Amino acid sequence: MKKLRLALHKGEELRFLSHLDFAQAVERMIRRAEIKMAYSEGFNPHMKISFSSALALGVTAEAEYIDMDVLEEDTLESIMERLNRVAPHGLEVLGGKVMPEKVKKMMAICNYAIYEVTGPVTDVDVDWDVLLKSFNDATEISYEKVTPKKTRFIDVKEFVKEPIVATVKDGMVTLTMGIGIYPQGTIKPSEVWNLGHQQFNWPITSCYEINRKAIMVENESGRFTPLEVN
Amino acid sequence: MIQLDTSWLQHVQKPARYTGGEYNSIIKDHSTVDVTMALGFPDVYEVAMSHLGIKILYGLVNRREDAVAERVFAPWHDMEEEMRKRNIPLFSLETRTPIKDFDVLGFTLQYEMSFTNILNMLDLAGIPMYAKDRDMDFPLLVCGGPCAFNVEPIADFFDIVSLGESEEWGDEFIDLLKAEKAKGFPGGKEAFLRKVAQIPGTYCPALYDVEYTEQGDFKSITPHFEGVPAAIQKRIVEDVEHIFFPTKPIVPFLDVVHDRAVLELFRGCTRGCRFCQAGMLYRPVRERTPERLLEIAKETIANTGYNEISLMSLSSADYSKLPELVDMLMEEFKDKQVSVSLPSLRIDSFSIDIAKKVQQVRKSGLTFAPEAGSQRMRDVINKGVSEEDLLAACTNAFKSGWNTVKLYFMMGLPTETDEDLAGIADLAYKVLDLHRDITGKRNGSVTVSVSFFVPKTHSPYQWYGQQDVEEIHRKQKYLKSLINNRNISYHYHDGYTGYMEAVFARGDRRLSSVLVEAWKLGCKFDGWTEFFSYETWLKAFENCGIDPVYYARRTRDFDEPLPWDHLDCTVSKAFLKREWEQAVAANLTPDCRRAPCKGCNVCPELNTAIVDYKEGGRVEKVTFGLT
Repeated sequence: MKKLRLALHKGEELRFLSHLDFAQAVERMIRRAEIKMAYSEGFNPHMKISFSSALALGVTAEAEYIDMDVLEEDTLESIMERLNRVAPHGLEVLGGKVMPEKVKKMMAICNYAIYEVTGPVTDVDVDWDVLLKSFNDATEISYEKVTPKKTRFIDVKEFVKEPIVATVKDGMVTLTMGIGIYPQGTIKPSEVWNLGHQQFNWPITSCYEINRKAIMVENESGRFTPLEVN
Repeated sequence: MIQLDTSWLQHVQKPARYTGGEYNSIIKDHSTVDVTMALGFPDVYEVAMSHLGIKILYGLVNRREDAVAERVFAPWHDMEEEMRKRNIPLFSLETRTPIKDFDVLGFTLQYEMSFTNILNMLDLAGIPMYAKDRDMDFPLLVCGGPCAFNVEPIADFFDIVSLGESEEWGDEFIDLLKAEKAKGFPGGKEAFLRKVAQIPGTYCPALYDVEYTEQGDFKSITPHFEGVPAAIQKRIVEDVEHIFFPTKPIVPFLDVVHDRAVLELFRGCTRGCRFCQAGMLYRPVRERTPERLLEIAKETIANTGYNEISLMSLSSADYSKLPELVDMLMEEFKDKQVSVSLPSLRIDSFSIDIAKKVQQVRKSGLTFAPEAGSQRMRDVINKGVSEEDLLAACTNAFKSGWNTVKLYFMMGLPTETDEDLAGIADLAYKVLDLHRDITGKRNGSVTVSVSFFVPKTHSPYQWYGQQDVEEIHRKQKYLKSLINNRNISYHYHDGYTGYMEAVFARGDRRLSSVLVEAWKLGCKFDGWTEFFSYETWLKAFENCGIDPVYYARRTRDFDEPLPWDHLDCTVSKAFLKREWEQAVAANLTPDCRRAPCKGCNVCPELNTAIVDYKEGGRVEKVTFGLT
């Protein structure tokens, strides 16, 4: 058995897949490639494969990562090639590496993500650097987070520590934001967008689309992609 | 190509229903083909993508270099609202081409309660509903499927109806369309339809005159032109072994209703259950060999990555080589984590043995369909199953570890009494007691599901007047009063949907106005309990001055002309009439599959024969037709 970590691109064609749909598309790709996989024991065996995050419906990703237990001797390069031959449009294996047998779950170690949220602006002349200043300089921003289960107040700055950067092009603005994913929770990029619109008067609407630029492991020595750590 | 903007699309439910791009979906440049077809299914994506017929047609058309087929399904309510708000016309999933721009728009007619969705889709596409309002600049509207055998209630909307199996018909139709299109359709639509009508199995409703008697009864449908057939005989594929079968079906991203590879073991079923329309429409039985099926299974699994393969047929347990096939599949897939599933079980111990084999680990529930509660009633419908059969099957199942059994029944069958209904409760209790006796445990559970019988055309019950819906509601309550056990759950629907279904199942051309009116009043997705509105339907009938009781409840005379007489499934009316008489007398008619001919007329009429591998090949026997 060997453990592989692969970087997968979730492109525009797969934008509207939920995490479970995406996971199923990946599993079916693995099956079509006839890669011998390790399965769990029990009544309902499933492929031993784990994801770095649960990507939401509507979000594309430059790279999402999976760890998979493979029961064959084929090389990493060949396995990646076999997968790409039977991948649906919008799904591509970008890279990978062979991992040691014991690794920490990526879900547990990936604690930082960079998102790009793009949407039309209602005022094209505005200076975004000035506009974003009050958000970026604030030490605390209270936000009422509503989930189906409960409603509570969180401090946005606990999760969005670095300045948000704006790029404007053709009447559209792209806000690039780094968001922390911690044991106590996180904030969705769409929530930051809507909050900016409502509480900070950013000249945007409720129309947006989201791309996740990166998901990373942040520790004392810096930030790393899952392929850069074990 | 129609643009769908993420900013709003991400807020409708399951946007992936509308964005296509699934593995094995086919994109062709329309400028490189001669014929473009949109294959429509008048229901939501998850239902449509579970349908085998669409998969076959999609593969069949797209295997040709000169034609393309794309899919179009009914948008869900929220999506429809967005489309109307944004003036987005109905579009195909593959290339997001407006449906109006296709040469052909085909619909499969699986159930009557989907008819309003067809009208709604036409409206969304910007295509006039009535065929007479469309010239050749609009797509030709084609339909097929079981409800095509009584297409009259929607005949005014369609240009071309394909009767029976359409693998061969499809190619002939595309060839003709291609040739005529190249010539610029000389003589316009009427001339073209007259040519299409020459393809066996084709009904072009516009080429016929319908007459009614002074009393307002249906009198006749006759060809308006010379050379147009008075009756249209269905098509069958004689050689199912070698006919095209889609081994590269589209793999949906979403969880659809039947999300697995499908293996069609055989076509047709000759058990002869008298309530069953499919059993009459798809005769004769034609099997594939296990070797061919294994080949199909291997290819499909390799091309899709599915981890389950379903053995499908009208009655899969009747497949002559089922044990051999199951062994072959289990052997082939044993290291590949592919499971085999059997959707329909026959009520006998043999079926349980097969189920045990294929469901070695997960013992999900077992489903049986005794259809009726008393032996007398089961004989009336020619079910050919006894209480002993059911209890033997359940004994085997409970001994093998199953604890849950689902039982399907119908009510409102001809000659039915309250005593027959009490038999349903009795059976449920017997099965539950059996579980306790065998396992010594009290964790058994029985689900009883009872539907309201809808008489269908081309069956021995085609003359029978459906029971009054309020009488059905009384019967439902009566049965409920007999079931008082927390381990037996009893399911039924209100009878109004079944009543409306009965109207359209045996309707005539005059009902098209009611459909349009009902659609105008807001009816759609009528097969979905939460969207069906009986009051609205009644209002539509009232506004059109048409009495639904006339269609649903009236018992027809044997010699009265029927609005579907010209749509010939080749089972003779004389045979159906004799079956009705046998029903009333509670006499059984055995399956002809491995027994002498019963004279339904299909084999001699189509000059064909049953293909069954029980005795190692094609059964050669004398067949005849009652006339």
